[in-house]
Amino acid sequence: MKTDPVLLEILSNKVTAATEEMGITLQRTGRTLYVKETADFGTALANLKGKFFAFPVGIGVAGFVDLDCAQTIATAGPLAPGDVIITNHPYASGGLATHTPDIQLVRPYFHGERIVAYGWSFIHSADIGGKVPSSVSPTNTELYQEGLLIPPMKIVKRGEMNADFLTLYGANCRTPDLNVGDIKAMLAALEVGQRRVSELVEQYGLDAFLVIQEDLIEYAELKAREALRQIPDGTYEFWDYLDDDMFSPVPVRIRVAMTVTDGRVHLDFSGSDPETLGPFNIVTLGRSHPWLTLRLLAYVYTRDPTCPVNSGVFRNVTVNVPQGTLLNPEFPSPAGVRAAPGVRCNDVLNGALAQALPDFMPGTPGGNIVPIVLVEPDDGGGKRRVTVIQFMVGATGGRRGSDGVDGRDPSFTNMANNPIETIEAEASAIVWEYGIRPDSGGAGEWRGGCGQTISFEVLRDGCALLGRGLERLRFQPWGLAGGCPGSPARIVLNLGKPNERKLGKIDVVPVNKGDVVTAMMPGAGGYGDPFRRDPALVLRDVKRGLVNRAAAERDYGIVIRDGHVDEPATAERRSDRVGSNAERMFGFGAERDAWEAVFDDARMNRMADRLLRMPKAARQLARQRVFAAVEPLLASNGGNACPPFADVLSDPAVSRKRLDAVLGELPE
Amino acid sequence: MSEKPTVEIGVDIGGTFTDVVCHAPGGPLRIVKIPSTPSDPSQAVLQSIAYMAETWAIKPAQVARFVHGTTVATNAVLERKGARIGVLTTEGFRDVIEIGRQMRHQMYSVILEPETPIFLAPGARRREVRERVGPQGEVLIALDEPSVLAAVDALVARGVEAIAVSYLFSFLNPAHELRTRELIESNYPDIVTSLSCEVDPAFREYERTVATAFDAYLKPVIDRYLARLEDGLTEMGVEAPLQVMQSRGGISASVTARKRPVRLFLSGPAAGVIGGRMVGRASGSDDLITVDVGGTSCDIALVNRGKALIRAEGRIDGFPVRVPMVDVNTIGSGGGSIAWIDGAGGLRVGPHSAGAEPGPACYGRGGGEATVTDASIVLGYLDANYFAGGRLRLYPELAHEVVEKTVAKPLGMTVEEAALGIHRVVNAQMAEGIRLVSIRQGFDPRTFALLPLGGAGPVHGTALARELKITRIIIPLHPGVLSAAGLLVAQIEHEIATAFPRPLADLEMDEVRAVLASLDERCAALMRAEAIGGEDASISYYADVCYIGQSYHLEIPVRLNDPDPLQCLYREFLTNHDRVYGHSTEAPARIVNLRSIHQARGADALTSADSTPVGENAVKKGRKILLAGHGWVEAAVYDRSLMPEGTGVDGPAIIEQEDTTTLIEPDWRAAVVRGGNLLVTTQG
Repeated sequence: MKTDPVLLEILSNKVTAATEEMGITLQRTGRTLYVKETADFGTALANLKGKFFAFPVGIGVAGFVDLDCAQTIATAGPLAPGDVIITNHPYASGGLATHTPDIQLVRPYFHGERIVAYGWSFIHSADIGGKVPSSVSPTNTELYQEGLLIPPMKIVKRGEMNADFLTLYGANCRTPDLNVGDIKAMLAALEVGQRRVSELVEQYGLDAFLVIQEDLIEYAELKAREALRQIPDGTYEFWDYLDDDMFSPVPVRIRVAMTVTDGRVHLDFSGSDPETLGPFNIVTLGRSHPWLTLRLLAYVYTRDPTCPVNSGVFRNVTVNVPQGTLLNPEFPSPAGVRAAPGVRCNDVLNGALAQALPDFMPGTPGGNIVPIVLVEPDDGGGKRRVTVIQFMVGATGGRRGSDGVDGRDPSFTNMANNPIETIEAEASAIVWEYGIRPDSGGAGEWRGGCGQTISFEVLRDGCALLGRGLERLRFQPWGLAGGCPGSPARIVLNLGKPNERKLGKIDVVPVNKGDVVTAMMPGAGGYGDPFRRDPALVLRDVKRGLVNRAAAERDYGIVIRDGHVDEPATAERRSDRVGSNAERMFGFGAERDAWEAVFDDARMNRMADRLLRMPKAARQLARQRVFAAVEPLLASNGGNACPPFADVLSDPAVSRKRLDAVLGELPE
Repeated sequence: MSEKPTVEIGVDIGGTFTDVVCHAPGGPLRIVKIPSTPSDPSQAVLQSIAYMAETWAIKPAQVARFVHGTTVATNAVLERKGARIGVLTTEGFRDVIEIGRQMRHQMYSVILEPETPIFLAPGARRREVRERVGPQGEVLIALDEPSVLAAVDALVARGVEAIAVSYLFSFLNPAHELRTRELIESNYPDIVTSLSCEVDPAFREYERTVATAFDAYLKPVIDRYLARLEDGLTEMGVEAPLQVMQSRGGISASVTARKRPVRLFLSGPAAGVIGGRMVGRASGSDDLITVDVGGTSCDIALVNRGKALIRAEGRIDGFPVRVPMVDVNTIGSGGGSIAWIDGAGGLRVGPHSAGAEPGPACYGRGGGEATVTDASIVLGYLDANYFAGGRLRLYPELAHEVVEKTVAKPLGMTVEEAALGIHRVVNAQMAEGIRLVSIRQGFDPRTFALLPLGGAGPVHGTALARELKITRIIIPLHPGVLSAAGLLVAQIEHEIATAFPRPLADLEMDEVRAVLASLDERCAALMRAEAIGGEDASISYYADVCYIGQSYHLEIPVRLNDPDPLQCLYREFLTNHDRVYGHSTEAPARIVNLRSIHQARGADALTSADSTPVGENAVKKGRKILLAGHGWVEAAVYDRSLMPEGTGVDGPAIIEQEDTTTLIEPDWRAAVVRGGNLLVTTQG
């Protein structure tokens, strides 16, 4: 580093504060709830290569540090003072826009005739047109259905707003006024950035300002490297699944081989499934990308909270993301629900890190952030009232020395929930229960957290229920180091009544007056052998109603009588255990075990490799045929129609033989 | 016969010192710092009475007012020493306090900790009651009294001392909560209760439940503490009633404070802001940024047009507490902040601090890490022989040693460069913190005056102002005891709010008047309890207003004398919305809460007969100080206590006084103005 340590720290403070001031300005002047309340926006300063050297702490979306503005900047053409670039095009922006509702602005900051940095801001807009309101639907099958596509272009030219663009834009989204309001807020934020950058250049000189950008990145690189060096050298492989792709019951696999060499990390995603028909894809163009690497960022800051937050962290990281996989899809595959594979990538890296650092990493979290939405009938005027009844989440995994946290999600979205007293004032619904779901946390010496549960009654006819992004209905959040998996999600209509109906993964479900919807979110994975859990902690969980007595005896070997641990009975029960998974590094649960008894890693790697050699148009069909040939039920229309895999694949040897035959038919 | 009591006493308890300000009409303002007694803070307060009698010959019977700022509420939470409490909730909602709002503050971590105050009442001490009120206040399920009794029995069996009751929509229909209290009191008269419909009658059940639970958690602790203090004062012969500063910046009788303990969290900091406001007004500045630099942190607050900014919800130990409080923002930089070198060779300052023990290395109490104060010694800003008026001797050689060893050597710098580096870094941190606090409120800091307080504040004043492009700094006469002084000028204040969830359109003003009248009655009763009649109180009304569909509101004055108060309310809402949120549209708005505030007495300034120093020479022996961009320069040193009004001093200069040291950098000029305050200005 060229800058002296005092100036480095001073300027580090100043550029970070500048991005925070940009963020405050955006949030203060933004218009939509996405900006104001759920803080789904971002601001940062990028260097001349388009990489962030300053990123705000504590305001906006925290996870986008690894975004790259380079392609957006290059595509928009020569830039003049006062220009501002806009884009929402995942492919054309080089992965900067991670799905179409995320409107990205990049502004070159000039000093005289020279660009000295770039300001960046984004917001999640309420709607950008497309097939459905809010633009994102799990049944979209190509990018064009996900709304107006804006390749990198100038929304402001030399300080002059491109009015034609705004007219076109306004005509193509359902909430034009709010959207334009949010764009103005972003422009205001970028203006703040320009002012602060100019002040810094004047105060410290242009050279110092340019040098500091590189030094701050290098600084973060060095600090992160120290944290990453604490991962023992080696290659760690792990894979995990999305339940299905909405069009069949076949799980979607994400696989990583993480190789660590002296604090340098290589992530090879080979063996991951081909891009999905639905929008469960992450557009990365094969580069390092926040949705792939976020767990590493979290790891680094857990080890060293004083590391500067900027792209330097990722100078220690390289990736291989084969083209055609769901982590590097080809145009025009849709990407609207990229959060679902993003959350799963987080779990996959967690699994790889857990093998390297089993004493440090927790079991996997509930892996869900689902808005349960009630759509009410049109009362005239063409408007249907749409209310998010609740943003439902699971819980965090157990880890050595500590239970998971009940009812809290640790992944990247940071959505506030809605007060019950707001929901009932606004929606035709009454909530009867909102709390922690008992008995859902994975058993372990350190228990996985219990997920949330909600139960509400619909108060009028003709409504529709949405629950997009629901996952972990089949494969459970896994336990670690002998810990058990958390309970899978369940969503049920009229629970405990004669007309009870399991809903499973839902897109749109009609509901009427008197219907009671119960959504039970997954618990998280436990850590360590549950038979080694402190009996006092089991007793506490029983008294709090988080573990029932039968489960205490079955899962933990603790016998409780009259509010006390029956020690002789407990000793006997604990000495006499059958069928435990205490010896296993990971506790995946019955469904995943049944699945992998047939579709194991070697065979799935082979399949992925061969499918990727086929043209894009042929891949999905070929993949469907493979699974249908093994078992016709796997060609059902979505996961809800398919019985448990333990039943469907009850004779793994036969299924494997069929699989080998059909894999053999795929072109080499 | 004793003479008529006229002496006013303000006592503010800090972590290290208990500050006492004594004001007698016609006499000088007297101040003393007594070491705090953390195990029982009231001891230090009572010691102050003894000190006054001995040293100043002020008899307890002469005391007309005794006003107190306390950290007992905050400490009870920080140290988890509140009462063992239970929480009663509506059936189906016992986990509200556990789930919280779900947002998390630790964004970058693989390990998540709970961020809700579960410690107040873990699962087994939260019980559900069968009852349900709907969103219009209508009863959907009547209160099932046997379920209340069963729940209360279970909580009592678990040893609770207090119970918080928070049912859904109780702010619209409090009947079930009120009846629950009757049931508790008739069965367990010793159990203390807090009802959400009284503590925080507004929608959002999590925030309301937390405020109510904190109230119950504090009530037995505060009650015992204030009772002990009241008794102690009476025993010592003080007949004046004890008054306590509340978080909002107004004082109330101790008897009232004991019933509403959740309003005491910012008792101390609020007094500081009120003191700052007094000094600002005396110096002709109604727009102020007060910066209280302590040992471990610095508290930043804004005063706009003579009013301290109030926030509707604050944070205590990271937990939301929805009670109106002075908007004090804390950042982790202070005089005791430790400078350290991180793994990549960067110089960092804070957030760790040497605290009061062992304190900075120069205290000679075994502190082995370089702090900001140590750097100030190396740079010549502080005189080791005149720290705290010479009462605390400092060891400059220890400061040099530690800065050299822990900062200069590892970075390959001279000890002076290192010390300057520490100052520059901490000033940058504080300046950016101040900037963000004002920007969040929609204010440009350049239009404000900076008011550094706390013993460690004034040494940073000109550096911070320069960073912020602020051109006026006011250094109070006694910055080290400004909180205690603030206690004496604060008004007695009683504030009561109620939920009033109504759209502004087609709202009749008579309805609003009727609700405000009922709030007035309750405030007036509280005033009468302090022997203040209706004609002595000034009354103001506020409404919390938001756009329909928006969930955060702004507090807007209700002007009953305006020809069209509702229209006026709406207009002011739009103006405020534009300032705070950067835009406003003429969209429909609604009222969320109505609030009545009664205030009485209070003063703009403490009139004292400080004799203007004459004759003596305020100039002390000068010394060399090191300044960024100037190198070593010769600075004149002044004794502030000998500087008469009108004295002007050009930087570079050092002005010393018992409780602080002020650094005047070049290009700044300091002048003693009315009230003995120091106005520091630059042409910049």
